[in-house]
Amino acid sequence: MDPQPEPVSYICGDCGMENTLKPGDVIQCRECGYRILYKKRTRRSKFCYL
Amino acid sequence: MERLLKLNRLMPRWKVLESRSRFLMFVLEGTTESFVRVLLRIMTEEVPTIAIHEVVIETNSSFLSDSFLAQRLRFIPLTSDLANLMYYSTECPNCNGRGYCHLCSVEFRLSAKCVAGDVTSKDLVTSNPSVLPFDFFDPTGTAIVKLKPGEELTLKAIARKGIGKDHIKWSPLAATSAKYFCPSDIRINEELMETLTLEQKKQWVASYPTDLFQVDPQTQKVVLCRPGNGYHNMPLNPEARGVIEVFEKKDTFVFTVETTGALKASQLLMNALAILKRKLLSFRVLEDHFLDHDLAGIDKLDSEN
Amino acid sequence: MAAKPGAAQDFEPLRQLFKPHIESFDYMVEAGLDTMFEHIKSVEVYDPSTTKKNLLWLTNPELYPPNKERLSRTISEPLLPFECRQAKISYSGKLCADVCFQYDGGAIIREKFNFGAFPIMLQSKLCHLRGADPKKLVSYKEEASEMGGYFILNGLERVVRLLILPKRNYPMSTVRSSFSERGEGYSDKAVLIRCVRADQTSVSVKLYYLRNGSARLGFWIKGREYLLPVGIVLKALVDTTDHEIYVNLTCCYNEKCEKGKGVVGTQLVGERAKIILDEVRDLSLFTRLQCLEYIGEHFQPIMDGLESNSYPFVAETVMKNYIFVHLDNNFDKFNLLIFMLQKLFSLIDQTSVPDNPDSLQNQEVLLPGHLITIYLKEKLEEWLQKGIKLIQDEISDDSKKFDFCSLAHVKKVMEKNPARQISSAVENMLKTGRLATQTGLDMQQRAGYTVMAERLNFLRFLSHFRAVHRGASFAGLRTTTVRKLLPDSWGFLCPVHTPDGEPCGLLNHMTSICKVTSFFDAQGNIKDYFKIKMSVLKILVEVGMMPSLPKLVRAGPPVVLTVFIDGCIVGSVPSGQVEKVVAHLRRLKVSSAAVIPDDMEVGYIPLSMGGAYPGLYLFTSPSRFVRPVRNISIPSDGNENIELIGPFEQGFMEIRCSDGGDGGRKSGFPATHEEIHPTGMLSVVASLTPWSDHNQSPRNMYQCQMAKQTMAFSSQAIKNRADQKLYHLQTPQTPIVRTSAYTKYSIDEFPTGTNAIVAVLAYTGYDMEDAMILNKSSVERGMFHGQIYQTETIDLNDQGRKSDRTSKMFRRSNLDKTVSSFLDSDGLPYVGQLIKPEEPYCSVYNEVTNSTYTCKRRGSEPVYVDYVSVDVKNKKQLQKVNIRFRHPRNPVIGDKFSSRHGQKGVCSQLWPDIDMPFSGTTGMRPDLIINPHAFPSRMTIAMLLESVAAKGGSLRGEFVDATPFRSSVKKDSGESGSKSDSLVDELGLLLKEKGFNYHGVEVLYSGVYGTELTCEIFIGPVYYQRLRHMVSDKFQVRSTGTIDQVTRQPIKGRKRGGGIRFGEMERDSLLAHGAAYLLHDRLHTCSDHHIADVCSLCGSLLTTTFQQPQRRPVREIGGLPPGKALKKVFCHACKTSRGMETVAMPYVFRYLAAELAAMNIKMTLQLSNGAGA
Repeated sequence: MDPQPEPVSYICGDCGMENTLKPGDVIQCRECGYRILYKKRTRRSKFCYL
Repeated sequence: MERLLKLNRLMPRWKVLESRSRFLMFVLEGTTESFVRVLLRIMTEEVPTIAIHEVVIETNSSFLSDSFLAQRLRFIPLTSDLANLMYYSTECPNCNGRGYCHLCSVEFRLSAKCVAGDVTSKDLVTSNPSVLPFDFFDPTGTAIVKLKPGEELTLKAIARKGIGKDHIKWSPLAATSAKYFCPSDIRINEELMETLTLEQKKQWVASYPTDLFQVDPQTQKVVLCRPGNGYHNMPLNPEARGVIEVFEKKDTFVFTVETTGALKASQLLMNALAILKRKLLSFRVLEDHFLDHDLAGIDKLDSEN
Repeated sequence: MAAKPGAAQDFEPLRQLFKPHIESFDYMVEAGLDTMFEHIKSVEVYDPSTTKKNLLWLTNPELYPPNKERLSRTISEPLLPFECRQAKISYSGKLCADVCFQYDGGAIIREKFNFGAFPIMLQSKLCHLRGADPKKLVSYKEEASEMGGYFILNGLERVVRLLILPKRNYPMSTVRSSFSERGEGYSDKAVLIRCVRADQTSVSVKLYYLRNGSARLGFWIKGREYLLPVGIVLKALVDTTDHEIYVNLTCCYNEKCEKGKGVVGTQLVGERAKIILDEVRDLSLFTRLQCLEYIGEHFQPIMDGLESNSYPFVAETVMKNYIFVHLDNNFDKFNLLIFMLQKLFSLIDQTSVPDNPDSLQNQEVLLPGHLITIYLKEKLEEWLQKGIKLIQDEISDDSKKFDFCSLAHVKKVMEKNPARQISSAVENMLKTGRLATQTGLDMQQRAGYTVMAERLNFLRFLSHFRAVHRGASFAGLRTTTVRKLLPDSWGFLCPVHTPDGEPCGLLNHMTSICKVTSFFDAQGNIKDYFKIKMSVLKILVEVGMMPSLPKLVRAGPPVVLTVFIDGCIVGSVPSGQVEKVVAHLRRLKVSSAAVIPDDMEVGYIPLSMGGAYPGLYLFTSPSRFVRPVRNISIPSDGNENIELIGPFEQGFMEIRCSDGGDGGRKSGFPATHEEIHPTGMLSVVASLTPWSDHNQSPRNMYQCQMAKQTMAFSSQAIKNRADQKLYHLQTPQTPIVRTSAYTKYSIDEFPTGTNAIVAVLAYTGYDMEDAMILNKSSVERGMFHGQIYQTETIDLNDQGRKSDRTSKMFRRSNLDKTVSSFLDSDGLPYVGQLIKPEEPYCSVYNEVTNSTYTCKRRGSEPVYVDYVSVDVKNKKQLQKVNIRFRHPRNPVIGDKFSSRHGQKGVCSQLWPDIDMPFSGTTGMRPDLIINPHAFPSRMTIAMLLESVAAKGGSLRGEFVDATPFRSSVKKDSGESGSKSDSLVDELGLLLKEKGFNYHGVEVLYSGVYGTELTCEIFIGPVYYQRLRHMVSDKFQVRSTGTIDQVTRQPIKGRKRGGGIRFGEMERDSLLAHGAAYLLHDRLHTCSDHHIADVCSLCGSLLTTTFQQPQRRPVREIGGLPPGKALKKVFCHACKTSRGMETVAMPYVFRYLAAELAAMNIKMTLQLSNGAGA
């Protein structure tokens, strides 16, 4: 069996709280109960073009 | 042909009309369009400056998209006096062309979270104090983005040396022009003009849109009212043939140079001339070649090409 | 001119544009549903065993604002539109209603039924956004200027299309050849009327003329037309005598006035009346009762639920439900029928002309609220019918224990037909735009009622709400008559703003000032039509109308004019007085205190020689077009005297232009009204074109098209949007040259272009044929930069079969290490990351099969991940994600741009700044170079004016007003005389003041040689739009690839990597060039080249088969592939392989042989050596 994947951070679409979710977690902000969450940016992205 | 012969004897002379830090206006005399063109081209395209080339965004919850932010950052002029001492990132011997060492790059960091007012160029923290946004010491910098409460922006920007030919962000020029100074000398053939009636004169004057000529109310003569600032290559209406003569004077130019702030205008001109000199210097090799070989050598050169 | 930043914007003019949609929905919510429920007939169930009757009917509809379904809490939270868009659900509120049961006239029992989630229009009274100020709207994650008017269904925004319908309650004389196909003796002429009930359902009735002089009344029941002799209907309506009918019919004929003005009746009317009466007598029907019995007998089999009723009752029901349904009173119906007969006879006798059904005069518009109401009504009726049928079935089924008297049992049976389906039926109708109906609802079309409200840019979005479609049935018509621009639509429909091509003239747009009447008065209260009718009647009687109520015999048109109020004859006015009456009514309309509604249409058709049938037709009904004009016949006591007029009355009014002239009117017909502003004839989009009066008119039409295709700043709330595709211009600008409409409608919220410095010259040759050279450096600096936002929604619940629904989840596979650089541990991409084509962006793990599936990016360009949002529909776990990608779309060669004057072009080169020509004095280099040849034939003078004006404006730091028709507006008293200068003079002076050339030209220096260009160049800023057609979406290239399974030819379609068709005409050109090898290459070698085995003995192509080579142990030598076994082919028919030959041919040829064989046709090939043939 695969090891449990590491949790991923999400930002609440309403209050802006950061929520950490594991697979199978309920999709809901723990602070305000809002159900639309945005994935938090964790990676740097490079913009380099001429 | 005559003109060329005359020019051959002349060396370019120049006279500064106006000089401010970012603005320079000078007259270049005794040269041709091609030289002017070369100078312009080098100033626009080939004088190296430093500009933000790479933007690494860590967080960006602002309204502007990453690419838009990167675009805005790219066009903040950075003081580029150091540019001549820096390496192009691809040919940096220090870091083997990776482009992240202090000899070929300057790193800026920006970290802002819901500040009062805009995020401006003044918020950019440089790794090299002599490379700064040109307006760093101004009371207001260049606005980058406005943040809303809760919004955050963290990024790293790498500035590198480059030339305007590759991307216009490296061009130190904001606006330039080079035009003929006193573009033409217009002489009125008074004899012929007097054969016209007043009405005809008025009509004739009206046919030039820029009020170049006027009818003197007293003498009823046609006079040139804006000598020197006139009209070049104007369409001559058929009746006007012979009435005026246009003498072209195409060896003097007015140069206007305005920079973005990356370089001082005078510095830009000097840098451009240095580049031109260096370019011409490369012909030295050719000169040596000629000295060493006879004409047959040239033939050989031709056949090789 | 421009609003200061931070200052509150006035969106009221913008809001006005969306009013027709919102008001009609508001009415439905407030009163329309109640009215409709009253009109739903009650149904009856009869139980023969207990001899009990149960009467069922619906009352008390209640519609609730959209709320979130949340079981845990008692307080329901509002559901916001943003959440619906994001979660791809519908913005809908609960619809409830009571079903009433009454056993044998006993006590009424009410039972509440839930009719499901009913779609709610945004910004309607039930919407949470209603009344929110811009700030509040922004906090709701909407545009500050959110206008609503549309529905959100499964996250998609859809608008109900405004459709043209025949004007309600107005008898229209028509000539149509199809009428004569109704039967023997039918002529091609008829008078038809579309009658509309209070609940907006309509029934059309036609009165056909028979060549023998009689007439037939035709109406549709359940998809069939029934034709009744008028005489019977006349007699069945009221108790009357033959004489009375005769006198009534012939009252329009007066011997005294033979062929005068306004004479509509002729001697023949009497003859025809006799024929009509004879017809009835021949059927031996004499009394009203006999007629009713006759009708009832014939209609009983068709009418549902009236099997046990008497014939007269059936007949009464037929007349109530199908004949002139807008009238309740049989007496009124009788009068109307008499009038229609007179009109019909006048049409036959050519004393009046037929009404044009394509003219706006005889049209009105279908509004969303009304459409939904009538559709809902039918669905509710169906539901009731089905409900009682279920009960009836239950009763008749003896095996089951069913207690008819137990309400619980009855309810349970009715629930077999779920009430929730009602709302989902409405939702489906809005989703697909398709009416699923049995009766047709008296509509011309079944599909195309709704369209997507695309937010490509704001102008396109707005146009969806202002568009009026003529109807899908006209699109297929061969004739162009319906598409013609008629003068009747002046001021109501924009003559400029219609697409060219297929829907030209069918899809029109309302002018910016055009409104649609609604049920609401100016104060926002619902109009009381009964009160209005009564007060209008009172006023009419006061000014000398003879009411129709005491049944007196009246005279006809030359003497008196019939007065209608909403299709009901209320009396007649002596023709001498009618002008006075009309003027009086108009005066009352304008005065605010009067009881007469300000949008009442006073349709006065005067007496004429064989013109339109005269009369005074008053309309107070909703869904009529109206527009404001100034009434100048009334002394203005500081009042504006703005009167709302409709297209019906407009044709007979004297409205002058506001330029102060009389428009060539004779003194006999003085102007009574005046246009407010000449731009009132233009739609919003058309009025944004600067100085459109200086352009050749088709160019303005092209601009209207292109404005709607512009890649612009489509949304201020772009961060919160999850549209499938969203075009976005990164750095838009406000135009320097703009019309007054631009400011009025706050287009600055959504600007559509850039003020580019445009030089008009032929430079480098790359600007030929409408190509344009863009300044590469300007582009690098950010000009016309843009993005496409594309949202991918992955819902694991939707995918696959029901069985494995729960087993799917987003997860990255741990086995495949290569994906970990693309995907996060939750199986979704990293935000901000770049994804190239064919790279994975999402990974789904299936627990049952223990397999992982990765979604890969398609297409040809790399994209950035803009955001990843997760939400839940019904499950709590992560099952649904929205991934928004951002395609960078900076200008490249091949992208399309246009000015605001229908001057489109394709970028052919990105030319470096240094090589562009420049101005000697300012050093200015153009952003864009266009060819001078773009102007002479197209005559877009306004573009030249714009360039000059924008140059002046930018020099002075001011916006320039470019409102068209400036010379046609009355100038203010002081400066009327002095301003005789032309526009060019005015603009030229601005330039001259700043030391520029008067004509907008400048001396430019060549960017290559540094010398002066030999002539002066016209250069200046012009507002340019970037159109959404980009090469990146269009380029198509293929060498080899997928082929069609059947024909083995390359497939078509860019998406699938197909080829471009090398068609007949292309083939022709190669033939003409004699390029035979090339032709062979294209059509054969690169297509379906095939080497076929043919049996030369029988000539067959199909009977050949491979003979399986004998299985010999193949010696494998050192890993080399086994030597190819020589394939042996033999013919099945000849049982030999002797005559086998190979022939190269297109594979389709083999396919043809096979197809022919299937039809029992044998194809044989005669093979011979090339030379010998």
